Amino acid sequence: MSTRILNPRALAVLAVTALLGLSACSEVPQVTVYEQGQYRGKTDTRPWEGGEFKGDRAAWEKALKERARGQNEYNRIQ
Amino acid sequence: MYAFAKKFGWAEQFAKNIKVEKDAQGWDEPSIEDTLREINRGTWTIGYTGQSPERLKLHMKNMHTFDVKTLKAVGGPCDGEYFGLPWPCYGTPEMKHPGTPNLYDTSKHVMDGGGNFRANFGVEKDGVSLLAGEGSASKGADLQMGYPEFDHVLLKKLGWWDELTEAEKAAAEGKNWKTDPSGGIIRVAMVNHGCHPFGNAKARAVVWNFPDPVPQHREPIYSPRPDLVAKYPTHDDKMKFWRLPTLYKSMQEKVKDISKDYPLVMTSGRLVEYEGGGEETRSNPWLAELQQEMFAEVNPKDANDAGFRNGEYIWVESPTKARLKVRAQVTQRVAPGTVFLPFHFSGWWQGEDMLKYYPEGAAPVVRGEAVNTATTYGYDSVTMMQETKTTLCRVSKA
Amino acid sequence: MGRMKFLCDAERCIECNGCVTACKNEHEVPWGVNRRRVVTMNDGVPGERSISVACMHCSDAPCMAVCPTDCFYKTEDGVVLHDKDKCIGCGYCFFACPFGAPQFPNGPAAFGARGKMDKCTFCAGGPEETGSAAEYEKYGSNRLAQGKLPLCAEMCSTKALIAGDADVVANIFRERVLRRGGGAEVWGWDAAYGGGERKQERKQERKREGQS
Repeated sequence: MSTRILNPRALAVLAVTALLGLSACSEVPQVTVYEQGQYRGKTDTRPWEGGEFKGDRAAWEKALKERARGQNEYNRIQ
Repeated sequence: MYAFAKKFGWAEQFAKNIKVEKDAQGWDEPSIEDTLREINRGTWTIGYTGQSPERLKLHMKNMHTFDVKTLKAVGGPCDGEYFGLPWPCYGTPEMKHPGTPNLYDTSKHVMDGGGNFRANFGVEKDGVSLLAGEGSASKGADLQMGYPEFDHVLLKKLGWWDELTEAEKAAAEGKNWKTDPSGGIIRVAMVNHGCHPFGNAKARAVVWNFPDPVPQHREPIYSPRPDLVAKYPTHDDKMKFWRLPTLYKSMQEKVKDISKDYPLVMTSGRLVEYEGGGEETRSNPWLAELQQEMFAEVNPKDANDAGFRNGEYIWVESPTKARLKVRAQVTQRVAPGTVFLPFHFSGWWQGEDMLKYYPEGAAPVVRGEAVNTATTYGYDSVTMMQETKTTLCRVSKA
Repeated sequence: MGRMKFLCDAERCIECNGCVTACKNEHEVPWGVNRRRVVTMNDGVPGERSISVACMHCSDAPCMAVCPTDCFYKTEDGVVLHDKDKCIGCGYCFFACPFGAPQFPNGPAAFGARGKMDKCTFCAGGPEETGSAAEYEKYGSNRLAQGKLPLCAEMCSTKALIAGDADVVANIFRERVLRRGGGAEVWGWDAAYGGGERKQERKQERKREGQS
């Protein structure tokens, strides 16, 4: 704690900052910025690693893409 | 099935013409191919004779050669055949009938899947010919007029008998196309002459052996409209109908004013996720969970008049004094004056859960009032099928 | 690889609940737990629509954001999964989720019959050895590792529900909308028998019949 007397200019600056500070009190920020937590569970293998694709990512992607396209019944009547 | 037959001592007859093989679990299983061949041998009339296992397998193997719009193979080993040999596929497999993509199509040759109406009700009625008119036969038929179904006499009269092989003649003598085990009569008619073995007749619009040869409106026995009962009465009572006395008019007269007390039409029907009476569906927890209570769909107007709300228990009462306790589903899906009940429930009887009467472990997961507790008297005038679709009812808050 | 997504076409869904049943069957999901459900709007009124809803596998998933134990993770393919051993079953994700995806099953154990929180996994199992009994018991089957898509979508009878890489799903849906035209109007009398001019013609016909 200082006991030094403030000069008038410093006082004015203080007053303005105090006002600004107070006005901030009435305006609560409306948007929460959350921080994504770090996953703390067990690690999981990626789908092409564990099962029958044995790490062959390209083959897995191809299989899945084919499967997805198979849902388009227009392919069947063309 | 084979093990069952064996246990009861008729396994030998059961698999007389069928090879018995071991399946993956080591069970004796009748060969599926032989089973189909046996079906092929005995279904001349309905045209399930051409679909041999070899032909069907060939189709599966050459699926890519079929046109996806017409379902007809273009080139390849199945050229000209329709995928899966759609019913009816006549004659022996060797005859190579292509299957029938559309019934009664006279724009095609019978060996390309064409056809015409069947001569199944004789050749004349009250002096009028029932056979088809001149020029109405299927494309390329040697007989371009109406003709009766083929038998040994007709073949001989037409001079086509000698087109049969000696073996076929021996089998076909005294037979018609349905009873000739060689399939020779069908072969000569279809392959050699483009004619349909079942003949060529007119479509029958007047069904003279039905009570109403042409359909006409008759009010149901339990009618919501007494005025229409007078105008469109039902049939007369029948003393012997399928051997039983069956009431029509006297019953209708007796209850013609019943709609004063039971003003709503009660109809019943199906839910997408249910099968039949629902006993199996409701015993499967995955499916039972989807609809856990018996309900009635009631229009908001009728619900408000009767003073109950959506989701409350209500009584649905029918003219037999049967009472069903069900949940109300107040919805515009039904029109005012109509109450809809699904027919998939059972296990409740007039407000009481019958759980304690089920043998242990036999009760379905979900139970509810059976709609047929409430349905009323009435039988179809031809088949004697009971009227379990619809009747009259009233609803009130339970 | 892209981002796994479901899409439900409300013009096609017939509320058969086949997807719900397929899910229950594939993962042995107990009574009362609905990883997927069919929601019907304006039930019984002309124009009613149904859609099938499960976990949407959000890109910025609220459940992940609020989880106090950080038991959620997202796979490279955009599937939101969670570790049931870390989960404490608090239900905060249930608050946060806009779709009601997290399920809290009743059961004999302190935390329910099927772990603490249960939800749609996009048929991708969970953080246990792929295809193991432990994975099946906690999370259900892992179809994704077998190169297959979620069963609900793959067996949908009207192909209302489609699943897979968002790009592919979007392409299928766009082609479909282009072909059928009319968008949300493909329903009812006019779609089946023609509106506009044909409707006018029919009206005039009826009028003529009435006069004669």
